[in-house]
Parts: sequence; structure tokens; C-alpha cells
Amino acid sequence: MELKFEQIAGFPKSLSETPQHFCPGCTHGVNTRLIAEAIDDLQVAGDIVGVCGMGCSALLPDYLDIDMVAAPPGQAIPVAVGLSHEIGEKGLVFVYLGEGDLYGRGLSALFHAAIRGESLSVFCANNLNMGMSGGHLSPTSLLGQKTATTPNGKSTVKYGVPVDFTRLLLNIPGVSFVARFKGFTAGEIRKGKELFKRSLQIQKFQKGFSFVEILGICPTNLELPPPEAVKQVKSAISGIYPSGIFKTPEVGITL
Amino acid sequence: MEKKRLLKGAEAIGEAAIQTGCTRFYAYPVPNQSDLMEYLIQEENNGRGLTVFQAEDPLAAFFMAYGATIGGARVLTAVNSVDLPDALRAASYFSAADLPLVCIVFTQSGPGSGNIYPEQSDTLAALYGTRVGDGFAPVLTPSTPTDCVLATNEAFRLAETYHVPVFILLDAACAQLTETVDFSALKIHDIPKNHPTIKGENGGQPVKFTTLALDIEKMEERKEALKEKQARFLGEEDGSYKIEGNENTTLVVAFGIAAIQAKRALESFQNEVNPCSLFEPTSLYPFPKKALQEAMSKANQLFILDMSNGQLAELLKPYIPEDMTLHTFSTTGGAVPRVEQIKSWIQQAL
Amino acid sequence: MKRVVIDQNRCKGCGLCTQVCPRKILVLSNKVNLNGYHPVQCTDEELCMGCANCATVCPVTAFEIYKPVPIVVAS
Ligand code: SF4
Ligand code: SF4
Ligand code: SF4
Repeated sequence: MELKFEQIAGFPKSLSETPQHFCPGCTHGVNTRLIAEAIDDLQVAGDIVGVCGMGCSALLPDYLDIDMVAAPPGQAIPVAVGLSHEIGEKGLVFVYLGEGDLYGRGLSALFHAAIRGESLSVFCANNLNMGMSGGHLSPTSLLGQKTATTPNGKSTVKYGVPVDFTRLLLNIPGVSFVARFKGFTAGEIRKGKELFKRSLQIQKFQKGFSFVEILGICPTNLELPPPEAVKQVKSAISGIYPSGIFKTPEVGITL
Repeated sequence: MEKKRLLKGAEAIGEAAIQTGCTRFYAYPVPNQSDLMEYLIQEENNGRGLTVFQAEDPLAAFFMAYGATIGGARVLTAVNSVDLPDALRAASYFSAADLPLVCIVFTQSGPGSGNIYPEQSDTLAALYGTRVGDGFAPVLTPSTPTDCVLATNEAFRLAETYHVPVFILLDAACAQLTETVDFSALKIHDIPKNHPTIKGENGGQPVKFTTLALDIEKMEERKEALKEKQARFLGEEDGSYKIEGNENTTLVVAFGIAAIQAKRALESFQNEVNPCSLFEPTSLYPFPKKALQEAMSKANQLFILDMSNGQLAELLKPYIPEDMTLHTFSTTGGAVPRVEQIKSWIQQAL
Repeated sequence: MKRVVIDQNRCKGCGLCTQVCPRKILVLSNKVNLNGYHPVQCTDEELCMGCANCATVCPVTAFEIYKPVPIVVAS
């Protein structure tokens, strides 16, 4: 039998060759590639603008070969809203940012954009801490989690019980798609790309606001080797931040 | 379009913005500023080609404006004094990204929530607050509705010539002042839009907007470019002003509603005192210092009138010759200086 | 024909791919790459089953995976 070799994995066209500053094992790298792959698969590289937030995601403009805008802390959603008002009829706008930025300073903007059903795809990288600033407490940090600002572990007394922001979006009529996956297991990463694609398609068909949260690891601030970080985070978030598609438009989209 | 319209200051700004080709307005409605917003919504509904959007908060309004500007829109924003710090934060980012912005600041009594009555106590905050990180922003101070029209048009010209944020300070009294504005006599022009946008041709290369520059050399380069831009701006722009009665030895300096009141006071003098000149800067940055110095060279008595705890006097200090006799008068708390007050202040001093 | 191509200088030696390879053919080498990391290497490409797990979890997109498929000749 004659064989030929088919490439089944490689370097996506929309991903820049620029070396990335992300620490070894960081989920931001996976997310960046998935976004590039989704853009390539949908062939929208020329019609899409990305907006990134502050923190470790802030250098995304260097890593994706598409039009990109880096927003100030807390303001990625408003910047994307303004862009979407201007170019939304012709192009797509997505936002990629960390949970510290989005659920902290950016929370009001997130919910208002969701309520208005802005035509946006929001991808939030949730790695349970504010990575770039030096591993500080973030709104999704787990109880007992040691961070630079909670050296003895996050306590309910000071900071309450962390909330699943992703599922808080579910009751908002303007939100058409809500999903979450783990950016550190092969099976879920594969699904993750499809979730990004679906989100962008929903936007293309003017179906409103869509949201995908990516659970990630920040091995540097967990002070763990990446494989160990994967194990620990997987078990720590189990039951708290489940993966899945929580909401999807009822009609009109063929994928 | 009618040539003459009876308009409030706030509305005159809106009308001028539309006639200048503004396509988007982002703001969070608060008193004084909302007069502008409501006017624009009415004109949006009249199909005048702009879209008004009410943001969830003033800061979000500015960054929606940021996104829309990058998307290619010609944007107007507005705040009142209380939210000036949000405007300054935005100005830092527009400066860093070399993007145009026109922001109207309706000045009222502060600090804190204060009240909604006019004051001019944000002058230094606007002038120096926009200098954060060495950014800079032209600051215009119109008074009458006709001046508001000119200032708005000028603000878009400056913003799009130098790709900078431009602030118009309009006190709450001027915002309410009504007059018939004759648009046919005004040189309103639609400015060719040339700011960089993500839609712009970049030889097929992706366009990136970021204000982050992690390495020192890159940031140095940016600062150098900003410095050059500022020098060019100061070299090319003189700063506008109005002057009444150029040859007198008594000079009154005021802007906004204080200038209007001063003018009324001076006009009502009937030989009670020698005639006085009135110098009204309608731009504070760049400051029309040559014109002011010329006016001061003829005077020996200088009256500075403003509505703050002496901010205008502080601003003018470097230009005042040592042998000048200086008188300052301020009203605060939202009180507009009355014509009688101004008259007796000047009379007593002379 | 190579089946597992690894960009030795992109690799940051995080070790995530080594955990997901069903054939256990990915190991961190003792070499040091341009960025000071120990890059991963493939011990036996013939064993690769083309599952692309490695490429999927790799944060730096260091992998190119080629899978042999039979050429179907239309008769
Ligand atoms: S600090 Fe954490 S989130 Fe940031 S790049 Fe490093 S591992 Fe990733
Ligand atoms: S494709 Fe699968 S079998 Fe081949 S090296 Fe990668 S993980 Fe191992
Ligand atoms: S997952 Fe990628 S970066 Fe990590 S060791 Fe494997 S090849 Fe290197």
C-alpha cells in the first residue's frame, strides 16, 4: 500500500512568528493559537479586529497577524463596543482578556454590553489570578488559594465566596452563547476551537453577544511545573467552574 | 439647513459638531452636559447623520469613543466637571495612540459633587491633567453660542490635524446662554478626515493600536515623537482670543460667562471711570500670550476676573509685568459675577 | 518522511506534551536551546500515531504532525 503524509497539525496562518513572552506552559499560548486557527478556518482574517485587555494578554497584538487594538485595563469591552458600532456591519470584533481585568475593573462594562446584546465575541482567560501583575488575587481565585495579596490563602471573611461569572451571564436575554472549556486538556482544547468558531459565527449572523471562558493555568504564579499545575487546577476547580455549553441560540445557525 | 438658529451654548456645540461632520457621540448623561446630548438625539432622529449612544458610565463612553475612532468615526464626547478625571484618563490614551478626540467639559461647582451651577475651577486641572505622561491637549474656552460654534469646529480641526484630544471648557452659564447663531456668517468646514484607522490602507499589513511599549527605547522613541508633535503644535498655533478696546490703560482679563459679564459691565460705564479694555482668551492651550502681552504693555492696571479660587490669576502670573497693578476678583460656589459687582469692584480700585 | 517536527527554539520545555502522548515518545532533552530551555524531542517517530495531542496542548505551537494515509487510486 502506498502512503502519503498528511499534515494534521501545524502553525496557523494568522498566528505570528513573533516569539511569545508567555511563561512555559501558560494557557495564553494555547488560546492564542486556537483563536488563530478559528480565524483561519472561518477565513475571516481580513475582516476581524481583536481587542485585548491589560495583563499577560496585552501583547496579543504582536502574536496575531490580524488588526488588533490593545485596550486599557477595564476598558477592553467599551473599546470593542465602539469598534463594533463602527465596523460591526462588515467585520467581526472579538475581545480576549484575563479574568482579573474583565471581572474586576471591567465587570460593569461586561454586563452592560451583554445586556445590550452588543455584537461581540468575548473570550475570557480565567487562570484564577492576576498573572502579569505578579500573581495577585483575582475575582475567581479559589478559597484558600495563596496569591501575592492573600499569602495565607483567600478567605471568605475578607473576599467572600468566588462566583462563577460565566454562568451569571446566562439570565441575560441579550446573551446568545455562553460556554467554557479547559485550555489544558487535549480533548477540551479541541472543543475549544469549535467554541471560538461558533461564537464568531453567531456574531456574523448578528445573533448578539457571545461569551467563552477558558480555564487556564498560570504555572509561574502557582509556582508549579506545568504538568503539576494542570493536575492541581483540574481538581481544584472541579465542581466550581464546570466546562460546557451553557447557552446557545435556538435557531438559525448551521455550523 | 436654516442659516440662522436660536440656540443655547450647549446646542450650538452640537449643531457645530454635526455641521463639521461628526458621526458619533458617546456620553453618560448628567446635568448641563445632557442638554447637548438631548439636542444631538433630536438631530439624530432628524436624520442628520450622527449616532448618539448613552454609555453605562462616563469612562466607558470615552473608551467606546476610542474604539469608534479607531474604527473610523469622527467622535464627540462630553462630561461635566465631576467626571473630568475620566476624561483625563481617556486623554492619556488618546494622546498615546495619536488619536483625535473632541471632549466638551461642562464646568460647574466643585470639588466633589458640588452643584450644577457654573464655576471655572477646572481650568488648571484640564490644562495640567491632560499633560499626564507628557501628553498634551488643546484647551478652548468659548463664551457665546456663536463662539461655541467656532470653537467646536476649531476643536475638530486641531484634533485631526495633530491627532490629539481637544478639550472645550464651557461653564454651565454659557451652556444655557441663548443667542441667534448666524451659520451663514461662520466658516464652518468639513475637515478632511485623516486619522489612522484600522480600515486604513496599510499595504495589506495588519494594523495594531497599542499604547504599551515594554522596552525603554521604544518608549523613548514615542516620547520623542510626542515632543516633536507638541513643538510643531505650539509653533503653528497661536491661541485665539477676543479683545475690546485695545488702547486703554486699564485691562480686564476674563473668559467664559465672566467675560460676558465683564463686557456688560464695561459697556454700562458712562464716564464713571476711564474706558477699560477687555481681553478674553478663547484658547488656554495654546495660550494667546503674545496678544495678551501686547495688551498688557499698554496697561498699568490689570483686573483678573474668574469663577474659581484664583486659577486664572495663577495661569496669567508668568505674563504679568512686575510694575503692573493687579486686582483679582472671583465668585465661586456657582454664583455668576453680577454686572453691578464687577462695576463696583473696578470703580473702587481705580 | 518526518512525522513529528518540533521547532526546537520555540519550545519552552514546559513538559505538557510529554504528559499527553499516548506512545510516550516525547521527552525533554538535555540540550539547551537558544532561549535557555530544554526542548522536547521525539524518541521514535515510527511509533507516532498522529493523534496530535502534543500539538493540541503545546502553548507555543512547536509541533507539526504528519500522519501517513494510504493513497487511494481511483480504478
Ligand atoms: S504570569 Fe501566568 S498568566 Fe502570565 S504569562 Fe506567566 S504563566 Fe501565563
Ligand atoms: S501525535 Fe500523538 S503519538 Fe505522535 S508524538 Fe504527538 S502525542 Fe505522541
Ligand atoms: S508542550 Fe510545547 S513548549 Fe511544552 S515541552 Fe512540549 S513542545 Fe515544548
